[in-house]
Amino acid sequence: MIMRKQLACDCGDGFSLVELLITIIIAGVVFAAMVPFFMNVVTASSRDRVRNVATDVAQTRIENIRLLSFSQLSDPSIATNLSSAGFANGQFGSTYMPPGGSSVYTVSYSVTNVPSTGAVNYVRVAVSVTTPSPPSSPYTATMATIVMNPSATSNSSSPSPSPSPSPSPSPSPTTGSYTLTVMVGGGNWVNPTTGVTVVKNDVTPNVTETPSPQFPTTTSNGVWSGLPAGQYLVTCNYYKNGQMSGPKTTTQTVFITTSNATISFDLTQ
Amino acid sequence: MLSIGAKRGRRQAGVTLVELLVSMIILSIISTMVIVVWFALQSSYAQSANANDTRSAARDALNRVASEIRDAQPQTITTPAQAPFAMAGPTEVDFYSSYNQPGTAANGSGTGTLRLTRVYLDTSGTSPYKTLYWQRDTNNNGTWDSGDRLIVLATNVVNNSIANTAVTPNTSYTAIFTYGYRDSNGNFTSADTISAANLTSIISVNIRLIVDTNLNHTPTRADLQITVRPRNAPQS
Repeated sequence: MIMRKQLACDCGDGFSLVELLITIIIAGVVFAAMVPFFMNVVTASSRDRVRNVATDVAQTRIENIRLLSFSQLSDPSIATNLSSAGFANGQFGSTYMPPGGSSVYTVSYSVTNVPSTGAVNYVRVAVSVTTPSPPSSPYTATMATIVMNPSATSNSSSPSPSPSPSPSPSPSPTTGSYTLTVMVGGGNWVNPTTGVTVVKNDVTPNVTETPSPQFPTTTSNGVWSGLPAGQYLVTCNYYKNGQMSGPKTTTQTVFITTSNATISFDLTQ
Repeated sequence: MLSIGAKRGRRQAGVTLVELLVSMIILSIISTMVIVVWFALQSSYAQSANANDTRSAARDALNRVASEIRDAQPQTITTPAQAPFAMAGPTEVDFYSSYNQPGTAANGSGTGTLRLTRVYLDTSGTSPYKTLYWQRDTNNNGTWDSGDRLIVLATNVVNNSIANTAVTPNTSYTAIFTYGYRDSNGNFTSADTISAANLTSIISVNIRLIVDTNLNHTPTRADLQITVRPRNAPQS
Protein backbone atom coordinates (compact mmCIF):
# COMPACT_ATOMS: atom_id res chain seq x y z
CA MET A 1 0.00 0.00 0.00
CA ILE A 2 2.78 2.34 0.91
CA MET A 3 4.56 1.49 -2.28
CA ARG A 4 1.44 2.17 -4.35
CA LYS A 5 0.88 5.52 -2.70
CA GLN A 6 4.43 6.45 -3.40
CA LEU A 7 3.96 5.44 -7.00
CA ALA A 8 0.80 7.44 -7.44
CA CYS A 9 1.95 10.67 -5.92
CA ASP A 10 5.47 10.64 -7.17
CA CYS A 11 4.28 10.89 -10.70
CA GLY A 12 6.33 13.27 -12.82
CA ASP A 13 6.26 11.36 -16.11
CA GLY A 14 3.59 9.89 -18.41
CA PHE A 15 0.32 11.48 -19.53
CA SER A 16 -2.34 12.33 -17.08
CA LEU A 17 -5.99 11.68 -17.92
CA VAL A 18 -6.55 15.41 -18.29
CA GLU A 19 -3.76 15.69 -20.83
CA LEU A 20 -5.15 12.78 -22.73
CA LEU A 21 -8.63 14.29 -22.78
CA ILE A 22 -7.28 17.57 -24.07
CA THR A 23 -5.43 15.72 -26.80
CA ILE A 24 -8.59 13.90 -27.78
CA ILE A 25 -10.60 17.09 -27.86
CA ILE A 26 -8.03 18.70 -30.11
CA ALA A 27 -7.98 15.61 -32.35
CA GLY A 28 -11.78 15.71 -32.46
CA VAL A 29 -11.73 19.32 -33.55
CA VAL A 30 -9.26 18.46 -36.31
CA PHE A 31 -11.40 15.57 -37.49
CA ALA A 32 -14.51 17.71 -37.37
CA ALA A 33 -12.73 20.23 -39.57
CA MET A 34 -12.15 17.49 -42.13
CA VAL A 35 -15.80 16.50 -42.33
CA PRO A 36 -16.72 19.26 -44.83
CA PHE A 37 -14.07 17.92 -47.20
CA PHE A 38 -15.68 14.49 -47.15
CA MET A 39 -19.05 16.08 -47.66
CA ASN A 40 -17.67 17.98 -50.64
CA VAL A 41 -16.53 14.77 -52.27
CA VAL A 42 -19.93 13.18 -51.79
CA THR A 43 -21.75 16.26 -53.11
CA ALA A 44 -19.45 16.56 -56.10
CA SER A 45 -20.04 12.97 -57.06
CA SER A 46 -23.78 13.39 -56.82
CA ARG A 47 -23.60 16.65 -58.76
CA ASP A 48 -21.72 14.96 -61.60
CA ARG A 49 -24.39 12.30 -61.76
CA VAL A 50 -27.29 14.73 -62.11
CA ARG A 51 -25.36 16.76 -64.67
CA ASN A 52 -24.84 13.65 -66.75
CA VAL A 53 -28.51 12.92 -66.60
CA ALA A 54 -29.38 16.49 -67.61
CA THR A 55 -27.08 16.26 -70.62
CA ASP A 56 -28.57 12.91 -71.62
CA VAL A 57 -32.07 14.32 -71.41
CA ALA A 58 -31.17 17.39 -73.47
CA GLN A 59 -29.59 15.20 -76.12
CA THR A 60 -32.60 12.93 -76.36
CA ARG A 61 -34.99 15.85 -76.67
CA ILE A 62 -32.83 17.40 -79.39
CA GLU A 63 -32.86 14.15 -81.33
CA ASN A 64 -36.62 14.02 -81.11
CA ILE A 65 -36.99 17.67 -82.09
CA ARG A 66 -35.17 16.89 -85.29
CA LEU A 67 -37.94 14.45 -86.15
CA LEU A 68 -40.66 17.09 -86.06
CA SER A 69 -41.91 18.30 -89.38
CA PHE A 70 -40.80 21.76 -90.38
CA SER A 71 -44.35 23.10 -90.29
CA GLN A 72 -44.58 21.96 -86.67
CA LEU A 73 -41.29 23.63 -85.83
CA SER A 74 -42.08 26.96 -87.46
CA ASP A 75 -45.53 27.09 -85.88
CA PRO A 76 -45.61 30.06 -83.46
CA SER A 77 -46.98 27.84 -80.70
CA ILE A 78 -44.20 25.29 -80.98
CA ALA A 79 -42.55 26.29 -77.70
CA THR A 80 -45.86 25.83 -75.89
CA ASN A 81 -46.45 22.54 -77.69
CA LEU A 82 -43.04 21.19 -76.76
CA SER A 83 -43.66 22.06 -73.12
CA SER A 84 -46.98 20.26 -73.02
CA ALA A 85 -46.85 16.75 -71.69
CA GLY A 86 -49.07 15.22 -74.34
CA PHE A 87 -47.22 16.51 -77.39
CA ALA A 88 -46.06 13.67 -79.70
CA ASN A 89 -47.37 11.33 -77.04
CA GLY A 90 -45.00 12.16 -74.23
CA GLN A 91 -41.77 12.54 -76.20
CA PHE A 92 -41.30 16.10 -74.90
CA GLY A 93 -42.79 18.05 -71.99
CA SER A 94 -41.47 20.54 -69.47
CA THR A 95 -40.17 18.03 -66.95
CA TYR A 96 -38.13 14.89 -66.75
CA MET A 97 -38.50 12.49 -63.88
CA PRO A 98 -35.82 9.81 -63.62
CA PRO A 99 -37.40 6.35 -63.46
CA GLY A 100 -38.00 5.45 -59.85
CA GLY A 101 -36.74 8.84 -58.72
CA SER A 102 -38.53 11.74 -57.14
CA SER A 103 -36.47 14.78 -58.08
CA VAL A 104 -37.74 16.57 -61.14
CA TYR A 105 -35.57 18.06 -63.88
CA THR A 106 -37.00 21.14 -65.54
CA VAL A 107 -36.89 21.29 -69.32
CA SER A 108 -37.41 24.47 -71.28
CA TYR A 109 -37.41 25.09 -75.00
CA SER A 110 -36.55 28.12 -77.04
CA VAL A 111 -37.44 28.21 -80.71
CA THR A 112 -36.24 31.02 -82.95
CA ASN A 113 -37.31 31.50 -86.54
CA VAL A 114 -34.62 32.88 -88.83
CA PRO A 115 -35.34 35.38 -90.22
CA SER A 116 -37.83 36.38 -87.58
CA THR A 117 -40.29 37.80 -90.11
CA GLY A 118 -41.31 36.62 -93.53
CA ALA A 119 -40.36 33.30 -95.03
CA VAL A 120 -38.43 31.17 -92.54
CA ASN A 121 -35.11 29.81 -93.73
CA TYR A 122 -34.42 27.75 -90.66
CA VAL A 123 -35.35 27.44 -87.04
CA ARG A 124 -32.97 27.27 -84.15
CA VAL A 125 -34.17 25.18 -81.24
CA ALA A 126 -32.44 25.21 -77.86
CA VAL A 127 -33.25 22.79 -75.07
CA SER A 128 -32.26 23.64 -71.50
CA VAL A 129 -32.41 21.04 -68.79
CA THR A 130 -32.02 22.24 -65.22
CA THR A 131 -30.99 19.79 -62.55
CA PRO A 132 -33.03 19.49 -59.39
CA SER A 133 -31.69 21.17 -56.31
CA PRO A 134 -30.66 20.00 -53.74
CA PRO A 135 -28.28 18.13 -53.64
CA SER A 136 -26.30 20.90 -55.26
CA SER A 137 -27.02 24.25 -56.76
CA PRO A 138 -28.99 23.90 -60.00
CA TYR A 139 -27.05 23.37 -63.18
CA THR A 140 -28.47 23.93 -66.64
CA ALA A 141 -27.38 21.90 -69.63
CA THR A 142 -28.28 23.58 -72.89
CA MET A 143 -28.12 22.11 -76.35
CA ALA A 144 -29.22 23.64 -79.60
CA THR A 145 -29.88 22.48 -83.10
CA ILE A 146 -30.78 24.08 -86.40
CA VAL A 147 -33.45 22.67 -88.67
CA MET A 148 -33.49 23.94 -92.24
CA ASN A 149 -36.69 24.73 -94.04
CA PRO A 150 -36.79 22.08 -96.77
CA SER A 151 -38.74 24.44 -99.02
CA ALA A 152 -36.66 27.57 -98.39
CA THR A 153 -36.06 29.36 -101.68
CA SER A 154 -33.16 31.47 -100.56
CA ASN A 155 -29.93 30.21 -99.15
CA SER A 156 -28.69 33.71 -98.54
CA SER A 157 -28.88 33.31 -94.81
CA SER A 158 -27.94 29.70 -94.41
CA PRO A 159 -26.98 28.91 -90.85
CA SER A 160 -23.41 29.45 -89.90
CA PRO A 161 -21.81 26.96 -87.55
CA SER A 162 -21.20 29.67 -85.00
CA PRO A 163 -22.84 28.98 -81.65
CA SER A 164 -25.30 31.81 -81.94
CA PRO A 165 -26.30 32.30 -85.53
CA SER A 166 -28.07 35.61 -85.55
CA PRO A 167 -27.86 36.92 -89.09
CA SER A 168 -28.18 40.67 -88.95
CA PRO A 169 -30.87 42.16 -91.13
CA SER A 170 -29.43 42.93 -94.50
CA PRO A 171 -28.83 46.67 -94.95
CA SER A 172 -30.59 46.73 -98.28
CA PRO A 173 -33.35 44.19 -98.51
CA THR A 174 -34.46 43.74 -102.05
CA THR A 175 -38.18 43.45 -101.45
CA GLY A 176 -40.73 45.91 -100.15
CA SER A 177 -42.92 48.71 -101.30
CA TYR A 178 -42.26 52.20 -99.99
CA THR A 179 -43.33 55.76 -100.68
CA LEU A 180 -41.04 58.71 -101.35
CA THR A 181 -42.49 62.15 -100.71
CA VAL A 182 -40.77 65.25 -102.14
CA MET A 183 -41.69 68.64 -100.69
CA VAL A 184 -40.59 72.03 -102.00
CA GLY A 185 -40.24 75.16 -99.95
CA GLY A 186 -39.65 78.85 -100.59
CA GLY A 187 -41.96 79.26 -103.60
CA ASN A 188 -43.66 77.45 -106.46
CA TRP A 189 -40.71 77.69 -108.77
CA VAL A 190 -40.25 74.11 -109.95
CA ASN A 191 -39.33 74.05 -113.65
CA PRO A 192 -42.66 73.39 -115.42
CA THR A 193 -40.96 71.33 -118.13
CA THR A 194 -38.34 69.18 -116.46
CA GLY A 195 -39.76 69.13 -112.91
CA VAL A 196 -38.56 66.66 -110.30
CA THR A 197 -37.34 63.20 -111.29
CA VAL A 198 -36.54 60.14 -109.20
CA VAL A 199 -34.01 57.63 -110.50
CA LYS A 200 -33.07 54.37 -108.80
CA ASN A 201 -29.32 54.45 -109.34
CA ASP A 202 -28.12 51.39 -107.47
CA VAL A 203 -29.07 49.14 -110.36
CA THR A 204 -27.69 48.91 -113.88
CA PRO A 205 -29.22 50.33 -115.95
CA ASN A 206 -30.68 52.99 -113.70
CA VAL A 207 -34.43 53.00 -113.46
CA THR A 208 -36.44 56.23 -113.71
CA GLU A 209 -39.40 55.84 -111.43
CA THR A 210 -42.78 56.78 -112.83
CA PRO A 211 -44.41 59.15 -112.91
CA SER A 212 -41.43 61.39 -113.62
CA PRO A 213 -41.22 64.28 -113.82
CA GLN A 214 -43.63 65.52 -111.21
CA PHE A 215 -44.24 69.13 -110.35
CA PRO A 216 -44.63 69.56 -106.62
CA THR A 217 -45.76 72.90 -105.20
CA THR A 218 -45.65 74.34 -101.72
CA THR A 219 -49.13 72.98 -101.12
CA SER A 220 -48.92 69.74 -103.09
CA ASN A 221 -46.07 67.31 -102.63
CA GLY A 222 -44.64 65.03 -105.27
CA VAL A 223 -45.25 61.43 -104.33
CA TRP A 224 -43.63 58.29 -105.74
CA SER A 225 -45.15 55.11 -104.39
CA GLY A 226 -44.50 51.39 -104.81
CA LEU A 227 -40.75 51.86 -104.68
CA PRO A 228 -38.53 48.93 -103.76
CA ALA A 229 -35.88 49.58 -101.16
CA GLY A 230 -32.64 50.93 -102.49
CA GLN A 231 -30.76 54.08 -103.40
CA TYR A 232 -32.48 56.91 -105.30
CA LEU A 233 -31.19 60.07 -106.92
CA VAL A 234 -33.80 62.83 -106.73
CA THR A 235 -33.22 65.71 -109.16
CA CYS A 236 -35.07 68.97 -108.80
CA ASN A 237 -35.05 71.50 -111.66
CA TYR A 238 -36.24 74.95 -110.63
CA TYR A 239 -35.81 78.67 -111.04
CA LYS A 240 -34.15 80.30 -108.10
CA ASN A 241 -36.63 82.79 -106.59
CA GLY A 242 -38.66 82.50 -109.78
CA GLN A 243 -36.00 84.16 -111.92
CA MET A 244 -36.59 82.57 -115.33
CA SER A 245 -33.12 83.48 -116.47
CA GLY A 246 -31.43 81.30 -113.93
CA PRO A 247 -32.55 77.65 -114.24
CA LYS A 248 -30.95 75.61 -111.52
CA THR A 249 -30.65 71.95 -110.63
CA THR A 250 -30.15 70.40 -107.25
CA THR A 251 -30.01 66.75 -106.30
CA GLN A 252 -30.39 64.63 -103.22
CA THR A 253 -29.59 60.98 -102.71
CA VAL A 254 -32.11 59.02 -100.66
CA PHE A 255 -31.64 55.57 -99.16
CA ILE A 256 -34.89 53.76 -98.62
CA THR A 257 -34.39 50.76 -96.36
CA THR A 258 -37.26 49.81 -94.14
CA SER A 259 -39.63 52.74 -94.18
CA ASN A 260 -41.14 55.48 -96.33
CA ALA A 261 -38.95 58.55 -96.96
CA THR A 262 -39.61 62.28 -97.16
CA ILE A 263 -37.22 64.92 -98.47
CA SER A 264 -37.57 68.60 -99.18
CA PHE A 265 -35.92 71.13 -101.48
CA ASP A 266 -35.44 74.79 -100.68
CA LEU A 267 -36.04 76.64 -103.93
CA THR A 268 -34.59 79.92 -102.64
CA GLN A 269 -31.03 78.57 -102.73
CA MET B 1 10.47 -5.62 -2.92
CA LEU B 2 10.05 -2.45 -1.04
CA SER B 3 13.38 -1.05 -2.14
CA ILE B 4 12.75 -1.93 -5.78
CA GLY B 5 9.26 -0.43 -5.70
CA ALA B 6 10.46 2.76 -4.10
CA LYS B 7 13.23 3.04 -6.61
CA ARG B 8 10.89 2.63 -9.56
CA GLY B 9 8.43 5.09 -8.05
CA ARG B 10 10.99 7.71 -7.78
CA ARG B 11 12.39 7.23 -11.24
CA GLN B 12 9.24 7.12 -13.39
CA ALA B 13 5.54 6.88 -12.80
CA GLY B 14 4.32 5.47 -16.23
CA VAL B 15 0.59 5.17 -16.90
CA THR B 16 -1.84 3.54 -14.59
CA LEU B 17 -4.12 0.76 -15.74
CA VAL B 18 -7.12 3.09 -15.57
CA GLU B 19 -5.43 5.67 -17.76
CA LEU B 20 -4.46 2.98 -20.22
CA LEU B 21 -8.03 1.65 -20.35
CA VAL B 22 -9.54 5.06 -20.84
CA SER B 23 -7.15 5.88 -23.65
CA MET B 24 -7.78 2.50 -25.28
CA ILE B 25 -11.51 3.02 -25.20
CA ILE B 26 -11.19 6.46 -26.71
CA LEU B 27 -8.75 5.19 -29.32
CA SER B 28 -11.12 2.39 -30.26
CA ILE B 29 -13.97 4.86 -30.64
CA ILE B 30 -11.88 7.02 -32.92
CA SER B 31 -10.62 4.11 -34.97
CA THR B 32 -14.15 2.79 -35.32
CA MET B 33 -15.19 6.14 -36.72
CA VAL B 34 -12.28 6.13 -39.15
CA ILE B 35 -13.04 2.61 -40.25
CA VAL B 36 -16.72 3.38 -40.78
CA VAL B 37 -15.83 6.35 -42.97
CA TRP B 38 -13.31 4.22 -44.82
CA PHE B 39 -15.86 1.51 -45.54
CA ALA B 40 -18.42 4.07 -46.62
CA LEU B 41 -15.96 5.53 -49.11
CA GLN B 42 -14.98 2.06 -50.26
CA SER B 43 -18.56 1.01 -50.90
CA SER B 44 -19.32 4.32 -52.57
CA TYR B 45 -16.39 3.77 -54.91
CA ALA B 46 -17.42 0.20 -55.63
CA GLN B 47 -20.95 1.31 -56.30
CA SER B 48 -19.94 4.06 -58.67
CA ALA B 49 -17.50 1.77 -60.50
CA ASN B 50 -20.24 -0.83 -60.81
CA ALA B 51 -22.71 1.80 -61.99
CA ASN B 52 -20.26 2.97 -64.63
CA ASP B 53 -19.72 -0.57 -65.87
CA THR B 54 -23.41 -1.29 -66.08
CA ARG B 55 -24.12 2.02 -67.72
CA SER B 56 -21.42 1.60 -70.33
CA ALA B 57 -22.54 -1.97 -71.07
CA ALA B 58 -26.07 -0.71 -71.57
CA ARG B 59 -24.80 2.13 -73.74
CA ASP B 60 -22.91 -0.38 -75.89
CA ALA B 61 -26.07 -2.43 -76.28
CA LEU B 62 -28.01 0.67 -77.21
CA ASN B 63 -25.49 1.68 -79.84
CA ARG B 64 -25.45 -1.80 -81.27
CA VAL B 65 -29.23 -1.89 -81.57
CA ALA B 66 -29.27 1.64 -82.98
CA SER B 67 -26.84 0.91 -85.77
CA GLU B 68 -28.65 -2.30 -86.71
CA ILE B 69 -32.04 -0.64 -86.83
CA ARG B 70 -30.60 2.27 -88.78
CA ASP B 71 -29.33 -0.18 -91.42
CA ALA B 72 -32.44 -2.38 -91.51
CA GLN B 73 -33.61 -3.09 -95.07
CA PRO B 74 -36.93 -4.17 -96.58
CA GLN B 75 -37.04 -7.86 -97.40
CA THR B 76 -37.77 -7.17 -101.04
CA ILE B 77 -37.55 -4.04 -103.14
CA THR B 78 -41.01 -3.14 -104.33
CA THR B 79 -43.04 -0.13 -105.35
CA PRO B 80 -44.42 1.22 -103.13
CA ALA B 81 -41.55 0.47 -100.78
CA GLN B 82 -41.96 -2.02 -97.98
CA ALA B 83 -41.01 -1.38 -94.40
CA PRO B 84 -37.73 -2.80 -93.12
CA PHE B 85 -39.69 -3.87 -90.06
CA ALA B 86 -41.62 -7.07 -89.51
CA MET B 87 -42.97 -6.32 -86.06
CA ALA B 88 -42.99 -3.26 -83.84
CA GLY B 89 -43.88 -3.64 -80.18
CA PRO B 90 -42.82 -2.06 -76.90
CA THR B 91 -40.36 -4.79 -75.93
CA GLU B 92 -39.59 -6.32 -79.31
CA VAL B 93 -38.69 -5.07 -82.74
CA ASP B 94 -38.28 -7.41 -85.72
CA PHE B 95 -36.54 -6.26 -88.86
CA TYR B 96 -34.56 -7.50 -91.82
CA SER B 97 -30.87 -6.93 -91.59
CA SER B 98 -27.64 -7.96 -93.22
CA TYR B 99 -25.65 -6.32 -90.47
CA ASN B 100 -22.50 -8.36 -89.76
CA GLN B 101 -23.65 -10.99 -92.23
CA PRO B 102 -21.00 -12.58 -94.48
CA GLY B 103 -20.64 -10.53 -97.66
CA THR B 104 -21.48 -7.24 -96.00
CA ALA B 105 -18.86 -4.55 -96.40
CA ALA B 106 -17.57 -2.72 -93.39
CA ASN B 107 -19.64 0.32 -94.26
CA GLY B 108 -22.85 -1.71 -94.27
CA SER B 109 -23.15 -1.97 -98.04
CA GLY B 110 -22.65 -5.15 -100.03
CA THR B 111 -24.53 -8.31 -100.75
CA GLY B 112 -24.85 -9.78 -97.28
CA THR B 113 -27.85 -12.03 -97.01
CA LEU B 114 -30.84 -10.43 -95.39
CA ARG B 115 -32.10 -12.27 -92.38
CA LEU B 116 -34.98 -11.62 -90.09
CA THR B 117 -33.51 -10.20 -86.89
CA ARG B 118 -35.07 -9.22 -83.65
CA VAL B 119 -34.15 -7.40 -80.50
CA TYR B 120 -36.38 -8.38 -77.63
CA LEU B 121 -36.72 -8.35 -73.90
CA ASP B 122 -37.22 -11.74 -72.33
CA THR B 123 -40.24 -10.92 -70.21
CA SER B 124 -40.62 -14.40 -68.72
CA GLY B 125 -40.13 -15.01 -65.02
CA THR B 126 -41.04 -12.96 -61.98
CA SER B 127 -37.75 -11.18 -61.40
CA PRO B 128 -37.92 -7.47 -62.20
CA TYR B 129 -34.50 -7.79 -63.84
CA LYS B 130 -34.88 -8.80 -67.46
CA THR B 131 -32.41 -9.55 -70.19
CA LEU B 132 -32.34 -7.94 -73.62
CA TYR B 133 -31.49 -10.33 -76.44
CA TRP B 134 -30.51 -10.06 -80.06
CA GLN B 135 -31.56 -12.97 -82.24
CA ARG B 136 -31.12 -13.63 -85.94
CA ASP B 137 -32.90 -16.27 -87.98
CA THR B 138 -29.58 -17.57 -89.24
CA ASN B 139 -31.00 -20.90 -90.49
CA ASN B 140 -33.69 -18.93 -92.34
CA ASN B 141 -36.50 -21.27 -91.42
CA GLY B 142 -38.87 -18.47 -90.49
CA THR B 143 -39.16 -19.34 -86.81
CA TRP B 144 -37.21 -18.43 -83.74
CA ASP B 145 -35.57 -21.63 -82.65
CA SER B 146 -32.41 -23.05 -81.14
CA GLY B 147 -30.71 -23.01 -84.52
CA ASP B 148 -30.67 -19.22 -84.49
CA ARG B 149 -27.90 -17.08 -83.23
CA LEU B 150 -28.72 -15.55 -79.89
CA ILE B 151 -26.74 -12.87 -78.10
CA VAL B 152 -27.29 -11.23 -74.74
CA LEU B 153 -27.23 -7.48 -75.25
CA ALA B 154 -27.97 -6.18 -71.78
CA THR B 155 -28.86 -7.52 -68.38
CA ASN B 156 -30.63 -6.01 -65.38
CA VAL B 157 -33.09 -4.23 -67.64
CA VAL B 158 -35.98 -2.97 -65.54
CA ASN B 159 -38.15 -1.28 -68.20
CA ASN B 160 -40.96 -3.73 -67.58
CA SER B 161 -41.43 -2.82 -63.93
CA ILE B 162 -41.34 0.96 -64.28
CA ALA B 163 -44.57 2.74 -65.09
CA ASN B 164 -44.55 5.49 -67.67
CA THR B 165 -46.91 8.35 -66.95
CA ALA B 166 -45.67 10.53 -69.78
CA VAL B 167 -47.55 8.62 -72.46
CA THR B 168 -51.28 8.54 -73.06
CA PRO B 169 -52.71 6.23 -71.89
CA ASN B 170 -50.24 5.63 -69.06
CA THR B 171 -48.52 2.29 -69.16
CA SER B 172 -47.41 0.02 -66.34
CA TYR B 173 -44.13 -0.45 -68.18
CA THR B 174 -41.70 1.85 -69.95
CA ALA B 175 -41.46 0.84 -73.57
CA ILE B 176 -37.99 -0.01 -74.81
CA PHE B 177 -39.02 0.79 -78.36
CA THR B 178 -41.18 3.80 -79.22
CA TYR B 179 -41.95 4.41 -82.85
CA GLY B 180 -42.28 7.83 -84.40
CA TYR B 181 -44.60 8.44 -87.32
CA ARG B 182 -46.52 11.26 -88.94
CA ASP B 183 -50.20 11.59 -88.24
CA SER B 184 -52.78 12.48 -90.88
CA ASN B 185 -51.79 16.16 -90.61
CA GLY B 186 -48.12 15.40 -91.18
CA ASN B 187 -47.28 16.05 -87.54
CA PHE B 188 -44.82 13.92 -85.65
CA THR B 189 -46.20 11.67 -82.97
CA SER B 190 -45.27 8.36 -81.42
CA ALA B 191 -46.61 5.05 -80.16
CA ASP B 192 -45.02 1.98 -78.65
CA THR B 193 -46.88 -0.44 -80.91
CA ILE B 194 -47.38 -0.18 -84.65
CA SER B 195 -49.73 -2.62 -86.33
CA ALA B 196 -48.45 -4.79 -89.15
CA ALA B 197 -50.45 -2.80 -91.70
CA ASN B 198 -48.83 0.49 -90.65
CA LEU B 199 -45.19 -0.55 -90.41
CA THR B 200 -44.32 1.51 -93.47
CA SER B 201 -45.30 4.69 -91.60
CA ILE B 202 -42.46 4.37 -89.07
CA ILE B 203 -39.93 7.17 -89.43
CA SER B 204 -37.98 6.77 -86.23
CA VAL B 205 -37.35 4.39 -83.39
CA ASN B 206 -36.63 5.70 -79.93
CA ILE B 207 -34.82 3.11 -77.86
CA ARG B 208 -34.90 3.53 -74.12
CA LEU B 209 -33.10 1.21 -71.77
CA ILE B 210 -33.48 1.50 -68.03
CA VAL B 211 -30.96 -0.63 -66.18
CA ASP B 212 -30.42 -1.07 -62.49
CA THR B 213 -26.84 -0.19 -61.68
CA ASN B 214 -27.00 -1.05 -58.01
CA LEU B 215 -28.22 -4.61 -57.74
CA ASN B 216 -29.30 -5.86 -54.31
CA HIS B 217 -29.15 -2.37 -52.85
CA THR B 218 -31.27 0.72 -53.19
CA PRO B 219 -32.25 0.74 -56.86
CA THR B 220 -30.25 3.24 -58.88
CA ARG B 221 -31.46 3.39 -62.43
CA ALA B 222 -29.57 4.50 -65.48
CA ASP B 223 -31.99 5.79 -68.07
CA LEU B 224 -30.40 5.71 -71.52
CA GLN B 225 -32.07 6.77 -74.71
CA ILE B 226 -31.20 7.02 -78.35
CA THR B 227 -33.33 7.92 -81.35
CA VAL B 228 -32.71 6.28 -84.70
CA ARG B 229 -33.94 7.17 -88.16
CA PRO B 230 -33.93 3.95 -90.16
CA ARG B 231 -32.38 5.06 -93.42
CA ASN B 232 -34.35 2.58 -95.51
CA ALA B 233 -37.75 3.31 -94.01
CA PRO B 234 -40.14 4.44 -96.75
CA GLN B 235 -41.24 7.66 -95.02
CA SER B 236 -37.89 8.83 -93.68
